[in-house]
Amino acid sequence: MISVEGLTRTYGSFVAVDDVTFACRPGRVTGFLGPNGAGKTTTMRVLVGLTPPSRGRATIGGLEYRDIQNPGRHVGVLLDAGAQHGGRTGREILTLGALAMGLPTSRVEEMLRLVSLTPDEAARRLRHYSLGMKQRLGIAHALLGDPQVLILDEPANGLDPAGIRWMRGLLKGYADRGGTVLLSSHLLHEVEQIADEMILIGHGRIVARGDKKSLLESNRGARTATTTVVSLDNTRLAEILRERGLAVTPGPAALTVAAEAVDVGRAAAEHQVVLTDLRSVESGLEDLFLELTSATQRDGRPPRGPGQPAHGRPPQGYPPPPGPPPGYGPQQPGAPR
Amino acid sequence: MTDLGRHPGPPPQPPKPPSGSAGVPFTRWVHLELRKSVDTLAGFWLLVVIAVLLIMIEGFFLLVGLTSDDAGLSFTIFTQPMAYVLQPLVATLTIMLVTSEWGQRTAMVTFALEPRRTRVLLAKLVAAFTLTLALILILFVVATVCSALLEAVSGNGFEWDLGPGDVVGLVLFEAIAVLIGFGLATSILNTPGAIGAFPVIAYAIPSGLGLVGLFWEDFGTVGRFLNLQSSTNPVLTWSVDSGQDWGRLVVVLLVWAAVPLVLGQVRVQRAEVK
Ligand SMILES: Nc1ncnc2c1ncn2[C@@H]1O[C@H](COP(=O)(O)OP(=O)(O)OP(=O)(O)O)[C@@H](O)[C@H]1O
Ligand SMILES: [Mg+2]
Repeated sequence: MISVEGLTRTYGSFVAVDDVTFACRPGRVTGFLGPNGAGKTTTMRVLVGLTPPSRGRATIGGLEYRDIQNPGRHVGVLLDAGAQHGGRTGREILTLGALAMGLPTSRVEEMLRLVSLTPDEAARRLRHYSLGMKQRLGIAHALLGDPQVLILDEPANGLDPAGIRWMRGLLKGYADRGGTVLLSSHLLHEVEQIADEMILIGHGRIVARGDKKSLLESNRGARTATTTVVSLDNTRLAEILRERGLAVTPGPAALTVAAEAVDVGRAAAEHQVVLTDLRSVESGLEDLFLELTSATQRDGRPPRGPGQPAHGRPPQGYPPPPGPPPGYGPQQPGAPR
Repeated sequence: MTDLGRHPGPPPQPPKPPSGSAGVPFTRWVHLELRKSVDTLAGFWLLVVIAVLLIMIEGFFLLVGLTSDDAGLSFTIFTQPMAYVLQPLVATLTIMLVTSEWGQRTAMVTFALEPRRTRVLLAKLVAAFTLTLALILILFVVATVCSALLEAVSGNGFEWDLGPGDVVGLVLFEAIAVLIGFGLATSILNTPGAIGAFPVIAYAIPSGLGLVGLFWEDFGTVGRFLNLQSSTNPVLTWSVDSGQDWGRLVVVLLVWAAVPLVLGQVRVQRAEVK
């Protein structure tokens, strides 16, 4: 239903979206995931014709957005809930939308009820709305025309926990009835729960895609196993493990070892060190996400040949470049969960 | 907002098959633009203030007419000078119709509902003309009431000198102001910028050209071709006769209306709406 082919958008020499290709199918929720400035919003803006692409094409149901007749009836769009006149009431904003799409005004009341805005709240001007109320109104506006396709940029932004759960149910139900949903977020655990399929984008490029399981599996082989271990004598255990050529990072309570749990346990048993805790660190989607997106960071443009250092050599006399912040580096061992 | 009870509601209806619905008729966009011009406090009060201002100034003219013994007062003194009062006001109103979409960022929503941006712009232009016509209608109604009062009270030779040319001239004169305001709004896309640019074109430049022309005759001759006020005045008084009049009118319209309008079209088409 949504198809993006070879989409590139540059601003001067900066490439905000770099040759992005993906499709969203009816009946599925597609999560568009990436860190700040990854190019999610830009891609969505190109989809709805607000930003012209530099190269490539984006279509909805085979049509470019500008060729869709009365697009509000086919594509529900929420890019920025704050992009409404602050002096209009919530009800007036929805009424304008309904009039434009040629809908009866009863639809306005229906949508207000759907997003749980009370008549009293609907009569308030938008500038007095809270973040979550604006978001609810934006969702109501997107659903107004009963569209087959939803394009939502960070729809959960500002919603309270109950609101997020409600929205999750809403979008799931919507997709189950055959709708196509594309939603973006930089919050992984949020998308993880709604999306049937995820597209990970970092620095304008798609770095991975698939459902949660396949994403984790596809990367399992490439990742080194990590184990955390606590023993009665951590110092000695660290020595033993290092002797075997394993990388050990001592933590305040536990050692983090780049090895399978079984190897750590065997080493401890051979030297009769008493283990009190041994667990293999299940690298979650979050680590994968950080790893993949920070990888694009290191591959930063202009492209370098293989074998070249990731950082240019600093000028003489400068301190060495700081490493990535803890938790953001690709090889950072995760904490025990 | 954390009350779970708030959240149940009717689920959205099952999506329609992707059948093509009819496009939005142009008149619907005009209707919407007219509604948007009065559904905010700023828009509503701008119109009210303009109307009240018209009535107050007409009332003042009436008082002056009642207290003077001059014969030869006529209907057009209630309309022609008022054209100059209306001129910056209708330009402002037009500018607000366009630039408020950018200032308030509603352009994102508007263009998502109607990606053919030219249609949105045209609808705004038609709405601006409609509002301007409504204000002119108010002007003529008030002028008629004032004239009737003046004739009844003073009686000494009041002249109902209104010809069709006076009406058409005034309407065209205001239409030019609307076009200039529209051109400025679309090419500047910023409320204070566009509202500030209008008096520069309508007052500062004509005065400047006139002043320099006082001392430098050749410049004055050329400068008249850029003088919005002196070149459009013959339209208002319905007396565009000589080739010079026409030439000046065409040049003024080209420079102050056509060029900004074209620039604005290009700008709005290309603009990334944020
Ligand atoms: N008009 C513009 N001019 C220059 N750079 C721009 C412009 N619009 C976007 N960018 C840049 O493009 C990049 C992608 O921005 P985009 O808004 O798409 O990110 P995002 O993935 O939506 O991030 P976030 O999660 O923070 O919303 C950013 O670096 C942004 O600064
Ligand atoms: Mg964004």
